[in-house]
Amino acid sequence: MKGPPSPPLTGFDVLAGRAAPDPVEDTHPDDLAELPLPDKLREVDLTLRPDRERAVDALELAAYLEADGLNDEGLRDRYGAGGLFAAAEWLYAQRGTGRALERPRREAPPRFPWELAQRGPLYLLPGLCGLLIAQATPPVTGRAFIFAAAFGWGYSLLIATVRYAEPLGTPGRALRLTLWLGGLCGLLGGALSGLLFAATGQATGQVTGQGSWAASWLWGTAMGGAVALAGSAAGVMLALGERAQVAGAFAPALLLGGMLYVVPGTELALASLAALALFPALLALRVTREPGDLPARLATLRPGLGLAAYGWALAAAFAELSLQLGGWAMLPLVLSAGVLEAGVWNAQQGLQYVARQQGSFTLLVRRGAARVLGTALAYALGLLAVFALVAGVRWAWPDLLASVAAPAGALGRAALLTVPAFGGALLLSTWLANQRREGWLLAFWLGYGAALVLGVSPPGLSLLAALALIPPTLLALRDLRSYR
Amino acid sequence: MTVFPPAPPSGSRTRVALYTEGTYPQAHGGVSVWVDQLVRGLGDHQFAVQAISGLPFTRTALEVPGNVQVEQVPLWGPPPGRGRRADRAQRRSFEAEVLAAYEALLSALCRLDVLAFAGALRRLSDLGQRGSLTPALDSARAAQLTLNLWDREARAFAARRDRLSPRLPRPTVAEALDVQVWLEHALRPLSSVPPEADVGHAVSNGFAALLALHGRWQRATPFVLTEHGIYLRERYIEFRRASLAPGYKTMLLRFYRLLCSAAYREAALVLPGSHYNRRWEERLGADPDKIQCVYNGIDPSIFPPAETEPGEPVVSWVGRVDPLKDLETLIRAFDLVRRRRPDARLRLFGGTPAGNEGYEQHCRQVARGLNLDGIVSFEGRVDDITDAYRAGQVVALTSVSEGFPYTVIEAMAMGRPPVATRVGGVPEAVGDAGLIVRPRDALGVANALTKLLGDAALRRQLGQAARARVMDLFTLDGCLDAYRRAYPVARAARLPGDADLPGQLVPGELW
Repeated sequence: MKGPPSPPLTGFDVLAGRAAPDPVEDTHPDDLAELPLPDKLREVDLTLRPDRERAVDALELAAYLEADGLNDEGLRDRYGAGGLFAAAEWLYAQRGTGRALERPRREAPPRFPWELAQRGPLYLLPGLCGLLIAQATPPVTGRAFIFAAAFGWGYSLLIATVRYAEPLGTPGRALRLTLWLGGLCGLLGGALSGLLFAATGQATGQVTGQGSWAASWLWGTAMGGAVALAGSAAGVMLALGERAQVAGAFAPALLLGGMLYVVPGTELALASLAALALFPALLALRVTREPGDLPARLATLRPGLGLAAYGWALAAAFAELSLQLGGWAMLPLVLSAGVLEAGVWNAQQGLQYVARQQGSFTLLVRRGAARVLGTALAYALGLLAVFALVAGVRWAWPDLLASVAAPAGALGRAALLTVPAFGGALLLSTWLANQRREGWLLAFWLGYGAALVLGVSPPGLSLLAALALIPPTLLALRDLRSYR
Repeated sequence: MTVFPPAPPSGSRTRVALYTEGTYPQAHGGVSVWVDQLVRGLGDHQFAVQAISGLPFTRTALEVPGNVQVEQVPLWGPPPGRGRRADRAQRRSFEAEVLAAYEALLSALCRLDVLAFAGALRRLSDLGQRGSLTPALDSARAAQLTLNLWDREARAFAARRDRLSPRLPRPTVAEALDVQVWLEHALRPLSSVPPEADVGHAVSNGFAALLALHGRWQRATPFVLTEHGIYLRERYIEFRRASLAPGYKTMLLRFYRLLCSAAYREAALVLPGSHYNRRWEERLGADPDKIQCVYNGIDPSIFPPAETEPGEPVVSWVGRVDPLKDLETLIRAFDLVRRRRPDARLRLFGGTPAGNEGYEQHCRQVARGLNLDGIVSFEGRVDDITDAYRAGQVVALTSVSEGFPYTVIEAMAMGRPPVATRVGGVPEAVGDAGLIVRPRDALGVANALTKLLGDAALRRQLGQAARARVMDLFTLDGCLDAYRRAYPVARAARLPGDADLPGQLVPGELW
């Protein structure tokens, strides 16, 4: 059966009072707007007007008319509108249609996410637990701890990549894979650290006898596995925004670690290690109960490997800097890691905000540069302020900070310059890594680490690093994709 | 009604490339049920299903029979592989070709030019067979191109537009970027390898039809296009309440509009699920001679007449919880029913698809706000759907958009009179065997429900008429027979673009 060859009437036909369109007719479509709507159709228009202001074409109004119960027959017979599409065109031609499409969008600028600032101290928890255990156990655990902590830095970036591969859900299975794989890598790394330590220890006489060799290896393996598993668990929980869970997960290990600090003992050390591995892992399993759509395959992790490698290079540079300046000098950087993340987040939100307001590329780049570079400068100045405050306190109350190994003298002045510059570079680097520049950044930080090892002065090098990251930042800001 | 030539003798095993989007086999729902019935009913056919999904799915919602092979075509998740290895110069040359085709596509979108759009899509379809389009479409150049071209076209268009012209707002950077990302994902199906088949079958317009077009261009596979609801109309309604940026909304709707039009033009047959859909299809460029209505059908033995009805005045609703089903109007209407029948209850049967949880919460809040807790019950999915129909004296459907809903004809087959909204093919399904009301008209729904709940004789009379109507017009055998005949027609059809193929036949001449 053939369908009836019936071209639908248009609003234009209704205007011209004819049954079929006439292409030679000289009436302009704008005249349709001048034709008064029938009373019933005007009533329809009263309710439809807000939609009409946002309508992009007449078909959209036809869909709305149908959805509101006005069908073809009704509009033709009872509304005198010539049918569904004719009525839609007639309404569409009225004044005010599409007005909202051109209206500039008003919205408040993004708020600084201070809640993210809590993440810095949380990052410290696995490390603090590990340090408390390491000071009461054989020296090999210190090596294994350093490996696991550095491993965790890059690995947490990989975990974050996996998490954002399924932004609308919880990729439980894939995150659990990262958890177990992190623990396994820690075990292997710890075992390797133990072996290397035992080998060097035998050479220097620190490790003697078969039993001591095996014990070193076991302690190294246990420490590497526990810290890496705990770090991975923290990464999983933080990636899912479970900050309270992280704080709770490390409480038992911290308590036991504190007791271990006061009353050293092998049993207590083992219990602390077990608590460090167990509680965070259990809570990470708890928050990943939903399986999600992302499969638990190694291929799922592949997209995050570049970021992880960049993170490891950064961790190596950080570790080398810590060795040169002392761990306490770097503490503000660790504690303010959450502020740094919040700053990067806020800068990106700011770029998106600017992109929603702007159609001009030149203005966009100018305002974008002010956002990103301004955030880096503010972070560096914040760190400088912290050091200035510490210096002020030391000057006013010389005995107050004597008990801690705070940097003093020339080393303190080096830290005063290095840490803020390094912080600024770190912020720019984090922002660039988010713009998929991790390959270049990997080489950059490896070079930085190598330069430190070769004896280049940390303050000058860090300042140079911060300045060197400005051109790639400006270049990235000329790529529109940076505003997503 | 469908008039196809007689079905070919059984024994010839037709290979059908079946294209779906978000339905079979990964999700429950009316279209999934329809496809399941089709592939099981046509057991002598071999089906290669290409299923468009959001993210890759790990399990199917329906058991897949032996004559069906399934291949996923996810729009999101990891991008398709790069294809064969190429050196840097080859990659650059390939990316330049992709960007040239992308530019043509953008230009067609801005000018609403369906022929140029189809031409650009076809070029991208060809390129998609040489490698993944993603590296080029996700590049900085593509982003800049999107912003510059769109802005230029919008400015030029603003100078010459009249009041009836579609709107093309000037883009912000964010809108251009969002459109670029969306298009990169939307075009991923063009990097899939179309299955070898005698005939293609898109079970909806939109992305399923994009796969059908891809199969036609790459394998010269003619295709039939089934439409239960009107894909474009549903997108308009979906975007009505969405707070999308104006430019982004505009470009997405333009893409859907041009894609739907291109599919209507290229399809060998367009098979809407109701006569009502014809208007939109013709409006969007389908040749009236190619349109044939095929009603959905059900197996009457699965939906036997329900002998007894519940003692209390209960209204059943069956479906997926979705804004298109407009449960809010039903709940508000039921509040009015309760004022006249305080003992009445409303039971809502059906699951909530992922992403619609917020809508379910909203409906629950509406019910709570009207003090209908415990009176309106969200029952979720039930193992035996007939229990849901048996549970009510009346079955309600208050959708704002429908094709040809199963819930209505299933309820009718069981002798339950429906109260349903005048949308899509619903009036054709119900005929005189139920009450039809306007969508979003809570008072109208309430009046119809009250009338039926209060009149047992009318319910019995309409219920009998409903069962008889289904047995006459909407059986599964009738639907399957129509498709058994349609495939050879499409296979034999040669469209204007097939000049190189023998036998220039126009589908309309075959019956």
